[in-house]
Amino acid sequence: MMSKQKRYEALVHAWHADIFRYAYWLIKDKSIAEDVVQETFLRAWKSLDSLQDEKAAKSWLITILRRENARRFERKQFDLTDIDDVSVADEIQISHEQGLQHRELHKHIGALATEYREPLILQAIFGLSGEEIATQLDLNKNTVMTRLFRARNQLKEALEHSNEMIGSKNG
Amino acid sequence: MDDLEFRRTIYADPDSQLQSVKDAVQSDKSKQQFWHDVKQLDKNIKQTVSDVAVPEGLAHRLILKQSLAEHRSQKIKQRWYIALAASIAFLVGINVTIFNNQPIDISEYALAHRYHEGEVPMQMDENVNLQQVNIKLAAMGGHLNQDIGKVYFANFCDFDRVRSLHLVMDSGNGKVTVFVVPLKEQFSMEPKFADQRFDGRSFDIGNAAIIVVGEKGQELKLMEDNLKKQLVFSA
Repeated sequence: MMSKQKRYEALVHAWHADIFRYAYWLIKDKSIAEDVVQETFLRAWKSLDSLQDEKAAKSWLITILRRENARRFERKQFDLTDIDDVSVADEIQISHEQGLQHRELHKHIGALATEYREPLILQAIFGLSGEEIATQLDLNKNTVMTRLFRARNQLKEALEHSNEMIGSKNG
Repeated sequence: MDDLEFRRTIYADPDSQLQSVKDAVQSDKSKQQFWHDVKQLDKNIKQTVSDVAVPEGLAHRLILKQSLAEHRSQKIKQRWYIALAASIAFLVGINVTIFNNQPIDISEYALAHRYHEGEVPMQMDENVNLQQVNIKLAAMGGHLNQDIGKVYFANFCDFDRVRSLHLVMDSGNGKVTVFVVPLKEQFSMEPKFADQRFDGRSFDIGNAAIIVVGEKGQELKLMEDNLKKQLVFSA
């Protein structure tokens, strides 16, 4: 059996990137996202013994991260910007194919309301099913499916709108 | 499956494996096109979402932070052990103090004292007269009315941190050691006591405990009676 330390390191290597990306899309601030990820993994280390099945690690980490993120709001009730209104497109460097459509899409995903964005991210990053997302967000499955539908619908409309804008500019 | 339901299902889960979805697209070109478009959109979404660059060295920082936290908690544990050790030491200290306040058997103490001093006082002959004895006795409020025999040695000594008078006297049946100790609450005494080498008597007169220690089998009754008769304490 692996030592606790080895288990932890394996967990970090396997999940830190996806957990960070999820945190980023949830928080939309890179440095706060990293702080929350730090807290998440520290918490995970402390209760690592409660993780019996490595297959459950993904949802376990997501649960911890959501809780740590909620704690951040409890701690800092003031000094809060309504980040849904802030454009995040310029903050993250897109590592490759900085195509116009990607940048547009990045901006539009960031602009989605959290209730639409979060299930979409859980599905896109972790490949969670509707049921799994429902469990994670404590919603019923139909609500989750509706939100996923609206999220993509809004993105499609926003992209079409942008294309029209670009089209009209170019034309 | 009607068109609206189809769209909703596909938008919610572009990778849907539902048989009803598969059946719906079977013979419907526009639905096939729509599904293709949504899959393309979803591919872009997944790519965009995963394109977020993870800060360099994040994994190492996570492991470092954990080992630092672990180190700190071990240090706290060590402090905890030190605190525990200190508590135990403190309790031991209290117990020793309580133990020290337990009744002290002065008969035993007299024997220990007798062993400790050895034979030196017993061999000394300072030829102490009654007046000199009384000066010393007066320090503890005592007075010897009459000569009750030769006094070879009379000196203050420490009797379990209590200033006491240590006498070597002639009992009429050889030398005996007599301790005069101001009575303390925690003192207890046996009227007759003995071990392999010595016999002893202890009794109190006024506020003083008198302990007579002689050799094994030595007659001590006469000494005891004389002391009880002639030694008085004013306090």
